Amino acid sequence: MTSKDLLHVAGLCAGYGDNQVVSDVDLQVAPGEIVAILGPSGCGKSTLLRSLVGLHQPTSGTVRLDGRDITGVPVYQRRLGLMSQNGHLFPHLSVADNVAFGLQMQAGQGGDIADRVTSLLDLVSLSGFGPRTIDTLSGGQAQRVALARTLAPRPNLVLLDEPLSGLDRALRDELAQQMIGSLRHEGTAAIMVTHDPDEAFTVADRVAIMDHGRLVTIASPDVLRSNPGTSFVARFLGLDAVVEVDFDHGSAMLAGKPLPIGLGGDGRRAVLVPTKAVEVSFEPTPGGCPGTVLRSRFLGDRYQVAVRLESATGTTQVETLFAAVDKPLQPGHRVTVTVDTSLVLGLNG
Amino acid sequence: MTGRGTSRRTTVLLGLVPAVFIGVFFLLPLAVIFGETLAFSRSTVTTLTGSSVRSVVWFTTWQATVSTAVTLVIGLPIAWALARFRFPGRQFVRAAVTVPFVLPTVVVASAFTRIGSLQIGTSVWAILWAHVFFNVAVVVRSLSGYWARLDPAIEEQARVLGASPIIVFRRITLPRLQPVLLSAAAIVFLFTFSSFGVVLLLSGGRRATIETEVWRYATQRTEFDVAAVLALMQLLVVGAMLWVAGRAGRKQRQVDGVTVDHGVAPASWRQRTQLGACLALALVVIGIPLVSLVGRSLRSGNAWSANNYLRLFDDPGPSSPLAEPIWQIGANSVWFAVLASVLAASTGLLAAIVLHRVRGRIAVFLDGLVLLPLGASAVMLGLGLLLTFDTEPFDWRASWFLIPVAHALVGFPFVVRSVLPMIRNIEPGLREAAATLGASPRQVWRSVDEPIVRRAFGVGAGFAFAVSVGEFGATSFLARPQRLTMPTAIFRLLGRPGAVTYGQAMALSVVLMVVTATAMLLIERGRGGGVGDF
Repeated sequence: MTSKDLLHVAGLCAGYGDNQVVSDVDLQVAPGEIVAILGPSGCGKSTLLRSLVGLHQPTSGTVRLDGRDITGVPVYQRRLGLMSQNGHLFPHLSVADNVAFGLQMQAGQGGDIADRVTSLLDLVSLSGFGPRTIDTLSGGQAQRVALARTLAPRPNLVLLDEPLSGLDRALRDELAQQMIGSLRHEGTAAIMVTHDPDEAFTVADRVAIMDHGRLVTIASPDVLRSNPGTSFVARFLGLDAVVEVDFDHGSAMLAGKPLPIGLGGDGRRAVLVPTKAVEVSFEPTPGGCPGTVLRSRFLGDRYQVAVRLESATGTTQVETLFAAVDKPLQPGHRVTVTVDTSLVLGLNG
Repeated sequence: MTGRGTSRRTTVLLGLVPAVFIGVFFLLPLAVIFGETLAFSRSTVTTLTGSSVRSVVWFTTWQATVSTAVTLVIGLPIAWALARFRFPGRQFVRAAVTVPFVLPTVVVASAFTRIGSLQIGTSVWAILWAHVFFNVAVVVRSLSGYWARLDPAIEEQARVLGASPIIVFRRITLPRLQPVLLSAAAIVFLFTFSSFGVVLLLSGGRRATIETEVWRYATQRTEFDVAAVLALMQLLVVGAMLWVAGRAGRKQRQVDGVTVDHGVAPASWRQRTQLGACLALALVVIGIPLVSLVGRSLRSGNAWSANNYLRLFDDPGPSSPLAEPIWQIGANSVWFAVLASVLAASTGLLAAIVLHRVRGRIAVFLDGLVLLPLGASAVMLGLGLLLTFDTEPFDWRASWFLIPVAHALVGFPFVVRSVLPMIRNIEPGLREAAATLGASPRQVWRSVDEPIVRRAFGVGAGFAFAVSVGEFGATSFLARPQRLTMPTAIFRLLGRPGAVTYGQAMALSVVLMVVTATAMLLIERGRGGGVGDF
């Protein structure tokens, strides 16, 4: 544990009855850092969040905040923020009273509550919304009020539980930017739970991947994208092509070329073939392998084509690779595929 | 389809029967009471402004306020436990808490004459406890259902924002419950303010509410004008309370429409303790009086025996306050109840069909008219019938049939309220589907409406039966000593000191309780679901 950690979680386990849903989680968050916890639904990420905030009592492990053990501290004394998918605004209070609630709970807050509420509503672009009732807000406005309410008491750490997943796509991107802007402006650290990789990658400084109650990896978005480590992570992130290759005495062939030694031992293993390692041409190329176009997808500036390799390549199974091209290709088009095998990454599991 | 004209004519024709019934036996007596108040003399004014009436009004208000407050304080934790926790037997507890509410007042009063060896009878505590016992069902029933639908995540948010459990309750939970709480409180206040049987039986003649005073002035002192003015005064307060309850009720529908049950199994020992404490509270408040009533009915002298029950078949001795054997009185009650339930169910069903057919302002007006007998107390009804039908052209006072008529009137709003939702639930799509499949209007009625209407009639009749066998307020004005009902017999038995009559009263109370509970159970079956908001 480094002294600059804001949050330090060690060996955290939690569950319901005999059903353990969070297993042995270790996690550190630095001040002002934004960490995303990414995982499929049901992987235990919400329970982890509830355990951190104090709404769920963990079975073992410790949670330290600023070096202080808060594992047994009641939720209302932890001074953390929580913002959830549905916002859970207080329906009987006005917008301003919702935002002011956390401030009113802190002793010694005087007349500056109103100022703080105003500045937070400004921050989330809802100036003048203070007197409104909750049922007059749209989904996006409600989430912004929830954000303002969460940030108002100046928590050191905010826990965000799928804060954007109730909203439609366009609103989500806009709100994600605003949320990050607000967190950075306040210098607040945050842990965000989500099942959407795009959301995690746009928002977070570091992304942790959770599977079956365990954090399987944690790294910055760049590192994670270039080296996902396991096929579960690569598949979950929707990264390029994950291909199963049969290794024999440490060597294997892909698209007619040998893979670099050192990727693995014997038997079937998964490798990641990045899009940038795959080239598609219309003439037969030396060292290339024949393939058929399956489909093309427009990605804004280029087209991603899925190409199926023809299986006359020895030990390799029939596989689908992805390549980036300038113009769309018709399905069924015959092409030659060349793979830069030095860019292929080995994956575990 | 039939034309609009014929359909309207049918509606009017259908409405005629309940309209005449309500008009002659309810509105007319009400008018007579009103007329009586106009005929007051100087002595009436002296009586009304006298200290005894003032102290009656004070006691009525005071005991209603305290009863309501205590009921809320006790009902709140029980409702909370039922709303927030999922545990085996939750449905049973929910049903058991409702039992007291459907018990006849006389049974409740009997139960509170003594608790174990505790002689609390004729003390004000007996009255208050009996009121709480009765009305906890109102609070628990209306509150727990609503509470269970409120998302606890909102309370969790408040806790994360730094609110301690007490502050969460005060600032978040209570305001969110406020509409239901207010409407429940108004109903409890209404019931306790117009408490008749409990006060009459448990006050030992030393305390009186406006209702018991109406009874005393009308039947004991035959000062009808005083009784009429008091009854009218009562009606005004009741009307105001109903208005408050109705307003709060409307608001509560606006607040929350979600129907998710957020109850969780108690996880920690702390939660289990909380749940246990709340259930124990329910057991003490509701269980002890009932168990002690049954226990006393089985005590004769200092030994356990069934003697009290066997004595229900004895001919009345010289010391008995009754003119006929008790089994005969039971038979009277059942006979009246059968008549009343047929009367109430048929008029109530017709009224419900009419209410279902009409729209707009007239619907609101008729809705109010139908509920009016609920607002006017049974005592008022008894007084009105007594005053109206004691002179030509209707000198029917000595006739027994005013009793089932009064019972049918008391049961009428219950019938309409329970039957109307069933009829409203007949989907128009179902009728249309049957018609497009080639069913004639008669066949549509046969296959779609009739089964539901028949069930609705059964449920309505069951309700009216249960109400009738336990009815005490109106009957106490109308019953002749030669032809009593079970509740009026219990009242007479308890009024006569002596171990034999006391034992008989306890045994008869248990019988009455069993009859009522059975009827309610059958209704619940027939409805295929929970009892509504009552």
